[in-house]
Amino acid sequence: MQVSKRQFLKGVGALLAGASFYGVTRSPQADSTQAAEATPEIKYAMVHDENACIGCNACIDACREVNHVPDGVSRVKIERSGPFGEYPEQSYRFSRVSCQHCEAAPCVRVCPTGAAYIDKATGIVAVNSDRCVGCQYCIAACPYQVRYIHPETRTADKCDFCQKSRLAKGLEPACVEACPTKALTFGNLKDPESDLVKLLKAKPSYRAKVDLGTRPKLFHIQTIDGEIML
Amino acid sequence: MYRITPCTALLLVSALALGLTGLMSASTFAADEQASRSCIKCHKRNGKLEGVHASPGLAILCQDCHGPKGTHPKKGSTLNTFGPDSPLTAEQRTEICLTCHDHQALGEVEWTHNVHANRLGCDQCHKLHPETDPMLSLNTQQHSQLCVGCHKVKQ
Repeated sequence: MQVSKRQFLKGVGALLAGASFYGVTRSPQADSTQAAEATPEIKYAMVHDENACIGCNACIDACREVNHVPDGVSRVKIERSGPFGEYPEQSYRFSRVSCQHCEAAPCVRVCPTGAAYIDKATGIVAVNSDRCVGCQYCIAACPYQVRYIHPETRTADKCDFCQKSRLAKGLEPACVEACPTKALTFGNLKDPESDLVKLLKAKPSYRAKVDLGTRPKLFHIQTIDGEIML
Repeated sequence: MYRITPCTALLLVSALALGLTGLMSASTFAADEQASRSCIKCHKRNGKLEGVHASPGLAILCQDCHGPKGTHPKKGSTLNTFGPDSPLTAEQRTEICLTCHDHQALGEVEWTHNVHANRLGCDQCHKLHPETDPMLSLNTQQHSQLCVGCHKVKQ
């Protein structure tokens, strides 16, 4: 069979295009989806009790160390407002700002390469850095502004509840363990016996920007003392 | 020949008065300094002030913080003492620092001042006598761990 140079090149080109197309569209966590498709029994969430938080930033330090987060960027921040009240009886309020692990995550929806995904087995919104091209669509789309480009890998990064660094070893996220006042509670929303579910049923909580339809899984227990803020 | 008008008379008198008060305050300061030196005669080791509070511009004397000598070292000393064995309350000790320091300015530099204002004395974190105050050389991790040290909830 005679194959011209032109035909040969066409064939090889089509083959390469097909192969790369398959590579891009393939599910980012192909191995984990099949196992968890039936009934995912885990849906991780976190509660930040703003009454217990003292704003010490031990969570930030622990996260930085465990997840090798370089200076200048951060997976978790504690926003401080105040002082409230008159000296010497002054107080501050603290609020955790980190990935909310939205059920309807805007970052996942806009990601053109499938690098941002929701791990179906755990409900964790994660980043596959091998697929991330650093286009920053997710950073623009995230209404909570918790994503950043990692200065070393040049890919998008954010809190993943320490999925890779600690959950895999059966440990709680670094911030939860580091918190001196037990202001952070991590657990499985689907387990009615978990401390997380018990806490959420015992105390009123709120979530940030629910009106955007993001269905976030970071819960806050609002500060009780002090004046009413408008 | 100069004529002394009422105006110049007034000027002269006021100049004299100013000079006198200046002299008087200088003499009381000298006396205070003398008293401060007499403290050092005994407190050679623990009396030395080496930190920023020792800078000559401030001219801080022992009695500025520790109060007048009174009957010290005999019984019934009324001196202000600092540190864990101090008989003064935290608020009393803080009050002494606040004669010079402004609580609002302190709160702006470091917010944790505000939340401990009536709970801790300054001396529970700060040290004036050594050359460097341990609080001034903390990095962010050490700062966090300082909070954790006291606020840690027992399991």
